[in-house]
Amino acid sequence: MKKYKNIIFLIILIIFGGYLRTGQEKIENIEELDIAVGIGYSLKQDVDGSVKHVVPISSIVYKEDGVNVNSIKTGEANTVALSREDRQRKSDRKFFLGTEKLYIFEESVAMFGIYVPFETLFKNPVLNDDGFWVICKGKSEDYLKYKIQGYDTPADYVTGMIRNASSYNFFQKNYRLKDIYLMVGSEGRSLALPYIELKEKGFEITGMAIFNKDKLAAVLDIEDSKTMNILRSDKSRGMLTIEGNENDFINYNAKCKRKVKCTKEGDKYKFIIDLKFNGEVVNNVMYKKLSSKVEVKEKFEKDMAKKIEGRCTEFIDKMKNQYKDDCLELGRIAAAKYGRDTGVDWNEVISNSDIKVNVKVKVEKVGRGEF
Amino acid sequence: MSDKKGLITANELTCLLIGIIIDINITSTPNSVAAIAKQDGWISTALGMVYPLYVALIAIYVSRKFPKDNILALSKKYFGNIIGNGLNFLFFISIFTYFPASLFNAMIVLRTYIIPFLNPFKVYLVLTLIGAYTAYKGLKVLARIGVISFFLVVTIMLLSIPILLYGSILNIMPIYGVGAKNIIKGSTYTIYDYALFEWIFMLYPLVNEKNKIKNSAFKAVAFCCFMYTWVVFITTYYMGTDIIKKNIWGFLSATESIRVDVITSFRYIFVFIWILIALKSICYIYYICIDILKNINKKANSLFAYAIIGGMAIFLTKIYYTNRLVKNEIVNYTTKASAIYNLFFITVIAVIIFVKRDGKGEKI
Repeated sequence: MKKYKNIIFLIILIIFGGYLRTGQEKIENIEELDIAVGIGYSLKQDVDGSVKHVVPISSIVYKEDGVNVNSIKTGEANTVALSREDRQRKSDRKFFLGTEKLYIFEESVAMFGIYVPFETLFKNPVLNDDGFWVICKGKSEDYLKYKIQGYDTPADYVTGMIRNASSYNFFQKNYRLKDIYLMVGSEGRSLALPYIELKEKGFEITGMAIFNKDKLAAVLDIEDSKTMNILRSDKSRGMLTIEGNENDFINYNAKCKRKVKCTKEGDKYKFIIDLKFNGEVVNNVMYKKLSSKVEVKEKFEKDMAKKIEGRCTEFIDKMKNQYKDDCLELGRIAAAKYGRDTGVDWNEVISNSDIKVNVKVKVEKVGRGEF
Repeated sequence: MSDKKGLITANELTCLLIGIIIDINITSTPNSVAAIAKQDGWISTALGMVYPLYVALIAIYVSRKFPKDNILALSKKYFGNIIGNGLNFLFFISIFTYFPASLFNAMIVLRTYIIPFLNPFKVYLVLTLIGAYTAYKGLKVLARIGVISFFLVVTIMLLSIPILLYGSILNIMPIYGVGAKNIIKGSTYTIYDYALFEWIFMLYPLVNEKNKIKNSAFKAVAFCCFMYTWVVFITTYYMGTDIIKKNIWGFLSATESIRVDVITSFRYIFVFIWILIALKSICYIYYICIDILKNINKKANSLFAYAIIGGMAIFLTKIYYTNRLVKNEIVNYTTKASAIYNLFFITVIAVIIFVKRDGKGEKI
């Protein structure tokens, strides 16, 4: 018996290995997979009034001659997950999730509520949580179909666009799926996503879509979006300008830091938002001798602070009265100080609370000099 | 026991004790704690260390009095062969209850994240076979695995430090906001995680430096407490209490926040490390079960006993632990029962030693 120990062991191992292999699906070659790059999502109303979920998926088809083709396959069904079945019926390849870069959601979906598709994405353990999420105007399928030279798919292009948006316009970096998980469900937080449009010349970020819980509250234009981003994010960067007469203007590129103080008097909350701008003057026609005279510099700083303050107050008024939505995530700060799970609706509380903005502007440098 | 070969060093003792406590279940600890203690879950977790600390204190006391007898021998000594063996067998059962649970925990993580195509039975089979083989190799091998898995745990801790960049301190505020009652209530949910420190009662006779037992027991408790508290803290820090509830393995989700440009998904690296840690726990529990049985009956060291234990574990897991909810319900009962029994068992032994004024300490 001892003599054959190794052989017996080997035989057992082979049988065991063979057993493990049984009942497995065959793993396909990469050329035979539908590798999803961008996922769109629309709603379609049928004649009888029922709503259909339409999920177009853009995937790259790898060809032998090296030319990769962007193929769109659309699934249509009564629920989001069922659209997978519908799509597979029309497709020649096995559908493969896990490498998506972009989720394009239509405005109508956002109005309807993003909870259902969102839950479906959250459940899936193989999904790529690093993908960006944007809201679009019009049909999401058109966005995925659009042809851009030099790019395999438009999803690649839009991904790059969102990723690099944070260098200007005070955009944030957290528009990835994993950040959105945190924003939608937490107390006192609210969702704000980039809003893109397909114009004649291509894609463009034209503002921000702000949400009340999981439903679209409003779409802000780019100027309002800028103000909201300044007030919303702890750290951001972008360009600000003062325009005087025709040819009089000054552009100021700055980093902004936000600090919020929250106090409570009775039932009323009071917020003081401190904004600190620190940056450089990019071009200047308005203030003569800005780089040499201290008084001019101080005057500019004061003017700029006043301008930003006015803009912010205007936006906060709009937010409190028109949108009635806590898109600055102030509820989060209040909850962290005065306790969670008290059952308050932060959107309502913030709309009725006192919000003050203090702005400090500092000119750090003026470039090489003044021409 | 007399041969030098089987002895372990004090450092290995620390690693073994850390190894038995830290399991793949640590990834869902934030969830169970945050259900009650909310943002103060990490305080609850830190408080949970009372359980292993108590066990360690008793073990140190007993090991001073009887440095050469483990708890099974002591129970036979004080209660006679029959009752003593009966109590020992109950001790075996209380430890065995953790076996199916840890098999299931490892399986469900594996099947959710990386191998959805294997059926549960196959996963159990592989895990148990590896566990049996390692347990058969003896304590010295387990100790080495313990050292390796200690470094793996440290690696995971270091890798999770960058999460600090992505979260917010607002998520764990207000500190102490849920009140003392809820914090203490939350700490009872960590019993499963801190369990099985009782293994120290089987290990102390095998340590070659008897004077360092106290030191290494405290080190192990401190490290485990730190690790658990860190995991709960960092998960809460990243997600906030509302999102933790929505995840099943909170810590695994939190580690996904880390972005490294070269690696598409950090998840697989983490899950890979967790598999090794889960495997180690299974090996350890396997070894303890066999070790106790061996003490009750010398014949239990045969291959037959290994097959019975492994087969039983797979059978129970397959039949009763059909999904996570059922498992949670069963584990809730078994954990409480076995923790109460274990505490009772060691306390009774310690009290008898104290009352009888037995042992080595008296003579000196």
